Amino acid sequence: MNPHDHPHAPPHDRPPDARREPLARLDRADLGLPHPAPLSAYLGVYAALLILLVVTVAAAFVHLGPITIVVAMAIAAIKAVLVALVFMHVHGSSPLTKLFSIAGLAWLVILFALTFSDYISRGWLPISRGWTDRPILPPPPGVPRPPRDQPQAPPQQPQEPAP
Amino acid sequence: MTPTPPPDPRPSPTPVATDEAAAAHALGVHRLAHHFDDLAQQHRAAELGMWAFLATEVLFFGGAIAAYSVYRMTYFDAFAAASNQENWLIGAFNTAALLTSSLTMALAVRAAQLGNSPRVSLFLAATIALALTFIGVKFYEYAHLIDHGLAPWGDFHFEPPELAGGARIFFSFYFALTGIHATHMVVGVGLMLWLLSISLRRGFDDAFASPVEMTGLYWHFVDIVWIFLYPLLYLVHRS
Repeated sequence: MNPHDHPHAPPHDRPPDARREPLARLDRADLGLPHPAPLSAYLGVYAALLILLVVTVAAAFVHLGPITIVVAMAIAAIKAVLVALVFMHVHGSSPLTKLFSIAGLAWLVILFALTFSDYISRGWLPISRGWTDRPILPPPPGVPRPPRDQPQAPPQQPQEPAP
Repeated sequence: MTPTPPPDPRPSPTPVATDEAAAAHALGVHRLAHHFDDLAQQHRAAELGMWAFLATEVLFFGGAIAAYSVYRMTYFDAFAAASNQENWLIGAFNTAALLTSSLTMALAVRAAQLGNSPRVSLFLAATIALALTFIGVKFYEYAHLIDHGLAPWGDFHFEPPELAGGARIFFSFYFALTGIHATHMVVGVGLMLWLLSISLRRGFDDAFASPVEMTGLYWHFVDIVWIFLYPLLYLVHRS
């Protein structure tokens, strides 16, 4: 395809100024480049992001107890996915790009899972006792500390009636 | 006697330069680097490389946020009290400014893909203005906290004093997380100034929007980081 055949090409009688003029008004699809997303998609995502910002603030002032952080992070995740899919064009990108965009997240999940499987579960089991009299890790609140020096009494077996 | 090799079943390689690239080269604009076959391949490579970089950035910020989460779990009361020293309204304003800058950046990318250079310049300038607004507000917040003795590196004062230790850790995380985020923003502003100078001098055409597109990916990533930092740092325990 000769770019000068295109209707928007600069006229032939004038040498094109390579530094100023768009050279050839080529269709991006002909070059295999992604198409620009429609304007409405960007404006729609922007409106959704602002609404979700208001929801984030509103939810923070409602007493939700321990799930406050879960709600806040869930809303943030929705916002992040919207930005990634539309603003960052992951929707409609190549499978390899999609894989790369998930890769960082996958390793982050591993990082959080291993970190918190340790920190959350500390003290769940009252068995981490070392050489000293004190347990290495205190038991969670409400769980009585098992005595170290007296072995636990075996559970009372129901007495068999004598034959 | 050697046998004749069988015919190569693979298709013969396609010509290296497309017509468009040849036309571009003839006019002296090197939109296509010599080690790529065509503009589409060049674009895919740029996009993939940028996402690989962003994956490392996800883990960079993610590791810091994981450390924050561990300390928040351990010293929740102190973190809640310390977070309430922040002004959530200023934070929300900054979040809105950054979300808007993401929109203007997306519109700049779209204008570049459509080959509309004046629009690229306009939207880049808007993005830079919003980014500078964000950074300016951040400086105001820093100055306010430092004035109130909440800088963890200095003379730290916090009421009630029994929560001061945990609060100091909170503000260490606050300054570190927002500081590395603001550093990323300064880098982004530098990239956008570079793009703006190209856009004003030469313009972008629709066949070579990659610099704008890749800066856009970076900017949206910075936006996503803040989307998580805002509730983590400003809205720990407001109810």
